[in-house]
Amino acid sequence: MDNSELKLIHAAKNGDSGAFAALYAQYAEQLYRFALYYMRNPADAEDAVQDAVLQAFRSVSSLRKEDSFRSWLFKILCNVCKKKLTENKNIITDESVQDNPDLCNQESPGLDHAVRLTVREAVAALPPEDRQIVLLSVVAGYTSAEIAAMLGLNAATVRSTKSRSLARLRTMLSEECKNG
Amino acid sequence: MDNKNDIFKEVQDAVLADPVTLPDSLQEENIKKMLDEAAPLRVVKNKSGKRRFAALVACAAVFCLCVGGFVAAQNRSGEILTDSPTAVHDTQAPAQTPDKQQPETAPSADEQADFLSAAVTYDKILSLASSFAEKNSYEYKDVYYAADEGGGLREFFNGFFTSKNDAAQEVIMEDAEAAFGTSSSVMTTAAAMEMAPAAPRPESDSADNTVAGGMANGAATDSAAKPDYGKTNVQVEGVDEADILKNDGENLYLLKGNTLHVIRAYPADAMEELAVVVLKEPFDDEIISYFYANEMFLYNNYVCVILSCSYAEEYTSRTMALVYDISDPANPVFVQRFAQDGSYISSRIADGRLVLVTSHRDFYTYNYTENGQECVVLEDRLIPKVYEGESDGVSVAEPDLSIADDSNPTAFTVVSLLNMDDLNQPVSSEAVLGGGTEIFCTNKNLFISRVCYKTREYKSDDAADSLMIAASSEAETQIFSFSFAGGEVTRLATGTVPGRPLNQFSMDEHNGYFRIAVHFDGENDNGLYVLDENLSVVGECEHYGADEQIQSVRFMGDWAYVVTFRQTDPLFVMDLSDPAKPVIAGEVKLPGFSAYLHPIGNGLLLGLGYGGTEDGLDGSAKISLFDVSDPMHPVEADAIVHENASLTTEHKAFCTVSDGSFLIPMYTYGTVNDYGYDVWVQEFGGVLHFAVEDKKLVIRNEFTCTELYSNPNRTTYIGEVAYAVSNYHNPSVYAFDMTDGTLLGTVHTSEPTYVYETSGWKHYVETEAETKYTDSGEGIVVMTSPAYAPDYQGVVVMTTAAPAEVPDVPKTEIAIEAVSPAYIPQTETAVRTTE
Repeated sequence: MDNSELKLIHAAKNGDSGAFAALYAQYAEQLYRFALYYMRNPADAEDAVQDAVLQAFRSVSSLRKEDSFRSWLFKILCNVCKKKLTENKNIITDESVQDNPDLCNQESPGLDHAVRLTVREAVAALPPEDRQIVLLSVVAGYTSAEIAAMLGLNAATVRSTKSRSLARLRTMLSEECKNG
Repeated sequence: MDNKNDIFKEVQDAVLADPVTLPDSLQEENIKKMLDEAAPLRVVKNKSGKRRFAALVACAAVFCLCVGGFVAAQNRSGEILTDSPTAVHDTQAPAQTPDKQQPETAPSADEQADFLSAAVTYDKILSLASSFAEKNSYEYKDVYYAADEGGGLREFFNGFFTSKNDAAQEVIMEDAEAAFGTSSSVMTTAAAMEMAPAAPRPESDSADNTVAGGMANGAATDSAAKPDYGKTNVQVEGVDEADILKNDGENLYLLKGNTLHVIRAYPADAMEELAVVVLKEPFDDEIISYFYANEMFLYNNYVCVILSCSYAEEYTSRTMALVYDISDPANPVFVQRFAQDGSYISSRIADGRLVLVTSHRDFYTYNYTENGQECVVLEDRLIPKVYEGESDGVSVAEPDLSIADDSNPTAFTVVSLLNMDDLNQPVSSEAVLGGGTEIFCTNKNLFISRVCYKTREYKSDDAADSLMIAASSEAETQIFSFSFAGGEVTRLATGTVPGRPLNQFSMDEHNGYFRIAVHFDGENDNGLYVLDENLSVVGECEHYGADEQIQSVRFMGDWAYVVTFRQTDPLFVMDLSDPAKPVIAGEVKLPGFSAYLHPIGNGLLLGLGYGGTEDGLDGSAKISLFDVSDPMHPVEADAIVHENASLTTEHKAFCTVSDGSFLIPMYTYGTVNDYGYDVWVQEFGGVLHFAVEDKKLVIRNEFTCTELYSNPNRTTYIGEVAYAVSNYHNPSVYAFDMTDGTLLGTVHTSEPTYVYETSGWKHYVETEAETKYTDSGEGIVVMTSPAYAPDYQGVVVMTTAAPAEVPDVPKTEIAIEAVSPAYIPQTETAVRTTE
């Protein structure tokens, strides 16, 4: 972490919303991508990131370990997403995967469209807890040990969940390749 | 690299290449606007009444200076710090250190007493849990101290201090515990007994444990006419380990998803699938929200499957053992079930008893509010329950409860013994407050390790918050020991060593001494400890393989073999013959490293793992043959290296043939660029058959599975036939003639027709949906992902009808109206009906 970010954190801790927004902006895309894949639709993802940012800003003065700012943001976002999913648990959101313009209707250069759709669909269909772990690893780049620390889980549990999820993804994706 | 990384990379590439557009509201300037409108809350009320913030007034003053409009915000919020009498008190207090900052150290005499005494009551557990819940209820201002006191922060920061080798280590550990890997093998008893190196000191007598393979359970019932066959490669002779493949000398038993497949495998020209057992059927009327089979045992005429499940509306993890009688392998008959609370840690069959170990931790719930979180103890779930047969759960009795660590009551380790020779005998259970991670089990004793991280104080340059307590990377491992004497599980002792073990092979018991090899994350160093029967450390050997992490360990009587790795692989030979003075006898440094060590007798040791150069790993697979007969001068006698290849390093995937040769699943790979980016593809997937002759490794054959996605992850043999078992899609079995490598036959297992049920949803898998569900009833069709039944091809049928009201929706009432072909794999369709 460079000095400029530390300065921003100090300013944010003193209530500077501009500094906090600038800090947030560095990770905005990662946070949103995480939330989008986790919540599986843009509206919920947007809400989740907003809520998380607000909660983070309100408690940033209590952030003791400044070089863990990003992890701390992700931890808060995880909690917010989890809570929202729990609240929405009676609403089946699978339809949202196909209705989701961000997830379905855009072309991406360099990647086969069909393959990417399958990966999205596969990730979106993992159980929420497993999805969270896979996304923290894939989108945010955290190791299993870091994820374990963040979610208050045993590292071995995270590793085996991740391993199991990847195996599931592999099964789904290979099935796709074979069929399609 | 193995295919786990390939899939990780493929997923990551695809996810990161996804062109996500940040909504306007999440753009930086709009976020700033949002933050300005919702000024920071300065709530400092604390439920526990313990104030730990000094100089809050000063802090608030800084805020007032820095943030225009903050005073107004305070007025709006209505919860200003000076409104709270406790806060006023605290602002005047000197900086206080948090109340519970003592690091986790070796258990005191009191803790040992708590572990051993029978004085633990439900009330005491509840009071510990309530106190934990109180500490974990906080408002955001308090988040760090509160979390820390409960241990949350310790875990939160744990991992930010990992060693340089973290990436490599992670790959290895994942590989070792790969849920989808697996196997079978046997080591002849003779070979096992010969194993002790021809050492200067004579090998001590009782080979009470620690020899790989072994004619474990099931052997007793084999008729003399049966050919030799492979059994699960185990850590301790005579103590069976569960796996996804079991072999009874005639039939193979395969576990996948929610289904048990029985395949007649021998003779190979008559191979066929005999039975498909849907494991949900014995409790078809119970509502499960998730359900999958982990692994199984074969014991006499029983198959015992260990399942993980969660009951709907409870959201608690439960581990279940289902026993089937397979006297007629074509018609497995459900006999008995047993369950206990907690997620699955491990199991064994020792001395005729199923040893089931779980971690029960679903007894807190968190309510989030705008200002913070509230942690509540779920009293009715607090004490772990065991469920014998169909009965309702019975809480583990007070005399069977113990407390290993009262400062962090987040999980119980639950241990049960089920008599496999008389399934109607009552189950014996124990529960320890303190969640375990790995087990080591002999026929007499069980050892459970529990890793915890010490706390460390940090000074902050923020004057308002002068001190924080966070996790350090200093791990400690607490060990609980239990005895199986008299068929009852009884707690024996608890002890603590620094560092953390790698896996089950890091632990061992020999001549009454428990030994454990550990890694210290902080210093990136390693240690080995010898503990007596009270689990007090009596001998230690520290500081070997500095700056390297342990990658594999094997204990053999008075000797320990430890592989560490950073860029090259030293194999350390340690002499433990004097428990008080374990010493390093010798070492050999090699490129790459071994992830699994397998003793084969005559002072020889096989190392299975990864090849490399002086600079690190190079993507090759390597089998090393170590000659440790001179412990002072171990040497690599021979090695097989395959470029761009991967061995299955899961010990259960390794199989010893009765003639002393070995089978191991392996694959090689290359890349193609079909998708616009490199994709790893299999070139060879199959089984390597090799032997050791005159201290040389000799490749006898490579059995190739030519079908796509047929990478085997287990192998076994019956007589002269080797089998490769692949677990993609529905499991497949390939039979090869071991003498000439000819493919003798293939069986693709069939698909089950009923998968599982969740709350309000029934999940079916059918192969011919269109012909079965043509009625246009009231149903609507929704797309669902294949992930709802990821292990199956077919049709996923779901109903939202509440099972209590409509116990079983007749299939003819389920209609398919339309599906969007773009999102549905050819063989899958999903249906949901509305009420």
